[in-house]
Amino acid sequence: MARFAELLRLELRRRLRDPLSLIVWLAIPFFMVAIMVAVFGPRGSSSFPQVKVLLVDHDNGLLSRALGAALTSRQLAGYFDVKTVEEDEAERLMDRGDASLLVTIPKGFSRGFLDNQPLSIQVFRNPQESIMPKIGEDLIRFLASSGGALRAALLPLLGDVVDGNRATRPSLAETLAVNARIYNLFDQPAARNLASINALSVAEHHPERKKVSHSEVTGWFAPGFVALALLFMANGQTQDIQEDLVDGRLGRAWTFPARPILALAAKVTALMIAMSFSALLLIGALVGALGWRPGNPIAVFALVLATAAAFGSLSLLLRSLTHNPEAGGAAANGIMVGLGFLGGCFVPVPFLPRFVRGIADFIPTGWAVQGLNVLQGAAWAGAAGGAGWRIGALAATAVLCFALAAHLMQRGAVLR
Amino acid sequence: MATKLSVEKLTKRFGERTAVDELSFAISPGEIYGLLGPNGAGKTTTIKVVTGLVPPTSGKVRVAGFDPFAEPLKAKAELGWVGQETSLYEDLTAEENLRLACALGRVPRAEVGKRVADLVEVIGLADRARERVSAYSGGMKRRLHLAVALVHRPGVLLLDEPMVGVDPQARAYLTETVRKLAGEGHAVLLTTHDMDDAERLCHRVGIIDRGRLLAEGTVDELRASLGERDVLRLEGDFPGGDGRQLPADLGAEVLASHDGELLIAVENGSEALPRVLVAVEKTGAVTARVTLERPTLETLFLKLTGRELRD
Repeated sequence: MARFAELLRLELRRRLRDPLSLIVWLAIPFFMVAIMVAVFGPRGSSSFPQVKVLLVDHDNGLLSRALGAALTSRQLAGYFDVKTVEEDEAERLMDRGDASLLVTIPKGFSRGFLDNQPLSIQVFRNPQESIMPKIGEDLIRFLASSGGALRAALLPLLGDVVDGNRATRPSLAETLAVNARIYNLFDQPAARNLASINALSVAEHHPERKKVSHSEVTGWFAPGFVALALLFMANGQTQDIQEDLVDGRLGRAWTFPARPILALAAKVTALMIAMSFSALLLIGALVGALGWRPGNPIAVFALVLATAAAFGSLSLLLRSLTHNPEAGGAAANGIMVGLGFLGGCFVPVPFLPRFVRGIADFIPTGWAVQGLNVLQGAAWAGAAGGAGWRIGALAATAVLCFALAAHLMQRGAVLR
Repeated sequence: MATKLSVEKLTKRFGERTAVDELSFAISPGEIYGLLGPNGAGKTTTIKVVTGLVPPTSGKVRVAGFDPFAEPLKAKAELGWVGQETSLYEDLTAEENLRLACALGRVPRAEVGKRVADLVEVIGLADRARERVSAYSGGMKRRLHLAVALVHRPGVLLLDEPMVGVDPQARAYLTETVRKLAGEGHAVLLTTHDMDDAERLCHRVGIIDRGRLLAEGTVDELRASLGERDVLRLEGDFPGGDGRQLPADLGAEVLASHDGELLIAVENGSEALPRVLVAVEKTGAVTARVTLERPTLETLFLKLTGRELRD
């Protein structure tokens, strides 16, 4: 153990003496946060993910269906993902956090609209989210307001139709009168107050379950950024180890009377410490600059360590399959970027094409990202359990990849 | 005297290619044994097997009686390896490089400080031991490179082409140090493709080509195997090819012929030269230059393989 500690100390000293590497370690977190601030900050522009809306239609009438159709119209479909469901299903999905908003249209809504009675639409927000429900709520409010204005304009005509007092279509004079009312409404905003439908009943769905209050967008992307930073660092840091192999320094170490694994383990441990330090710095910057709340610090620390070990060992394994650092870098980059995409490092898993979403539960990048999602209490973390098994899976990956890499590197040992 | 390193019928194949073919030799304490052969002859593969980095296809290796594969730690405790390139950590100091080697070499913790201090003194780097290796000259790196291999006091030194790319000063230092180490009882295996190194340093030399040991003995024994003859090196145009058509009663033996060069062994070279030249020119050859030489290890290698060591 003392020998390992001495080797580790010297490996860490080597890393600290490389000024460029040191700057890169320290710069990566701040660079990543700067990107996030630029993208999601107050002056930034971003394309938001779709707002998931559940619609429970107790009325099932002409106007309630029109509301659903408005939400799913071509113009809004890019921004809203609306699903009409039964009440039980809506409860279940909201409980699982699978939607941002639940809109309930009461029975008799269409009739009440035509009868000019006061109406109410119930809107339930997902308490675990902040931005998405607000966007959905504003749209429903706008649609309700528009509906109220429309009713104010059309009511005399519609009333006549509903009452059955007219057997024929409205006369030209009546149609012009309706037009005039509509223009009047748009010219005089105060006239819209005639509408009584714009009263929305908005409440949070099970507010006692509210877990996070930080910026939702940061929460969506921060875990992926942390994992991505670790991926890049793993690739960069393992290049040093491959150079030690190719330049014969590892081969020389293996001519000494120490177990071959000792020298390599010291190198990988030093790499893991460096990566974890940088990742924790990144997390600190995300917390400080963007208000991210990653969750239990001990669990986050354990997950970061396990992720650094897994990514480092995986990168080392990929490099051990190649003959020089350039080829190793290309191979590791290609495969790690693919794993990063599938694991949700670039785009959160729920936004990935449906057929690849499940893959995240079976790959190290997915374990890292989803583990951080679970720890931050995100509703979109999926139903595949907690962070514990993911930390275990990452640790097992680290051990397996390290053992394989060590075996392959010894087989390809170079003496120069 | 018990051998420190023995290699018996060692064979190593990589797929279809045979890198080492039934190679056998043994080295006693205090002996410098040279493995002389061109690049690709199997010298480094032999060293890799001896250090336990590559398992042999067949054959037996013993380091101080230990099998490097069955008892790797015991065998490696007796081995110190020095390669042709200085595989040091340039971002560490000399002292740190030696401490790292101490950790790998299982040097008892209590002895590390003294051993490091002694070694930097011996290699003349005591005043610069705390400077990073990247600031050292090539010669200083060479000395440190050798010291790293000695940190755990091995009984057998493996020197794999140690003189390649070395300046004359460092070469002299290495030569002196290797002799001194042998004098202290270390068994030294030195691989080289330079016959001068082999002749200058080695007590015994094994000539190796394509993985096979072609000849073995002291430098004098190997020279004597060519007989007490001189060597005529003829350079020119030899349309007859290899000169084999020279008359049998000429008393000359064609050792090798290649690239416009003909090597002929004759008794009493200065007397034989005129008649050899006449005989050669009768075959249609045009001789541009003639050199009379004493036979060397290179001559022997040429005779054995038909190629020069540098090929």
